Amino acid sequence: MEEHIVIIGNGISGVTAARHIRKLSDKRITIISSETVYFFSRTALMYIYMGHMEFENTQPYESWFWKKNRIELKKAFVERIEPENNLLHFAEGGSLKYDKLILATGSKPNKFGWPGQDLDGVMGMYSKQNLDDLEKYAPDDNTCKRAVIVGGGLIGIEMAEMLRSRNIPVTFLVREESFWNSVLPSEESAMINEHIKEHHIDLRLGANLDEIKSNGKGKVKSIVIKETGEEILCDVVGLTAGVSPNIEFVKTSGIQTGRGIKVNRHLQTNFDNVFAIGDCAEQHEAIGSRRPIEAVWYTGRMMGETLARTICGNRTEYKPGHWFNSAKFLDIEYQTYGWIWAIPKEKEARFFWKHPKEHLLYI
Amino acid sequence: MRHEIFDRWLSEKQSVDYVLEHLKDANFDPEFYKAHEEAILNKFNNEQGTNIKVARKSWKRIFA
Repeated sequence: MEEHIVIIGNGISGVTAARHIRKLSDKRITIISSETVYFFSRTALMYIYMGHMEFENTQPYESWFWKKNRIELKKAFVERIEPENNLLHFAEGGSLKYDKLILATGSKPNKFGWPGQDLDGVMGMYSKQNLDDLEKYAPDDNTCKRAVIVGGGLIGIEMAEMLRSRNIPVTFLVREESFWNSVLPSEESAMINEHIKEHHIDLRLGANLDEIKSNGKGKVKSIVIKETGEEILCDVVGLTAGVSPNIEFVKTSGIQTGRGIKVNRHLQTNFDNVFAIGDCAEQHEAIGSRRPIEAVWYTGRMMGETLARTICGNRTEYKPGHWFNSAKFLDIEYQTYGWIWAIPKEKEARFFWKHPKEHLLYI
Repeated sequence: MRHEIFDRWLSEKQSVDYVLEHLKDANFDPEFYKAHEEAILNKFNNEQGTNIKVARKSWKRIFA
């Protein structure tokens, strides 16, 4: 009888693992998700809000794909893992036995203990549920007279773009002195600052969130900036100050965790038959100059494909190769290959070219 | 920019001069988009005192 592979998480990592396991074997595969029934492209969520596509259009595979490929889907919330007995327990009741377990539970938006961070109208921008919340609290510029976004990075700027597409005024709190300057060299960061303002976004560099104030009925009324005490009235607050591995339910299981689920180069945890991939995985030792936790779409996909080989008998190390990434800042497309540090390292020279008029820059 | 090309250049540890000379190979903009390689090389040559010339895009090199 074929062994049962259970995957918790139906994002790019878990689904890539499932697809490749099916390509390589006839093992029984079950994907569990508490977020959605079907896999959807998380990076496309913003385009649903902007009216470019319906939610169903973000699903890369038709609904018959799963049955056709004998991949079982289960919508449920795993409450507890019992790795000594190869068992999962669901919040809805019931349990499931596995031969091999793959944890691909992704990230959750960071909350740093701000007063009011759990009020209605306050949300991250990660999940389908976040998207639904944004639609509920910011359907138009009447219901949402202003939105404040806290945290200047890839998700923050996407959320700003989303809201501006419905003409909703946006105040963008960025605690750094220049946008994403921990990653972007100063020339690029400066160009993005300008571009953000060109889009009529109220950019506040060097600004931290102090607290989120309630309207007395459980909903956000305003925020206060720490440095100045300025109070800004708003109907929505987007918390986009980074993400962390979504692993709360794993912490008491005996599976080793740090910030994420600890894995070796084979993406294997301290239990031989339990693995972790994608945003939720943490390498014991970072690979090359990469971070131990890679919350990047591309690397999640690579880990899924690599792990499938190991699962199917061809033990393979995760070898990500040269660093690369891509993103978009409003109208500016960004691609990077190899390591370009925000501040050049010793013995590194830096050359950049910027178009005299357009926002086009090579570093 | 063409990912495969940059990935290959990184693996081959190509020099900056080589990359700049062959920058057109990495450009995947459609026909009729403005090309900026000449301007980029001009600035680099001025700053570094070099004389690198932009090589024409070569599909043969790209698919090597």
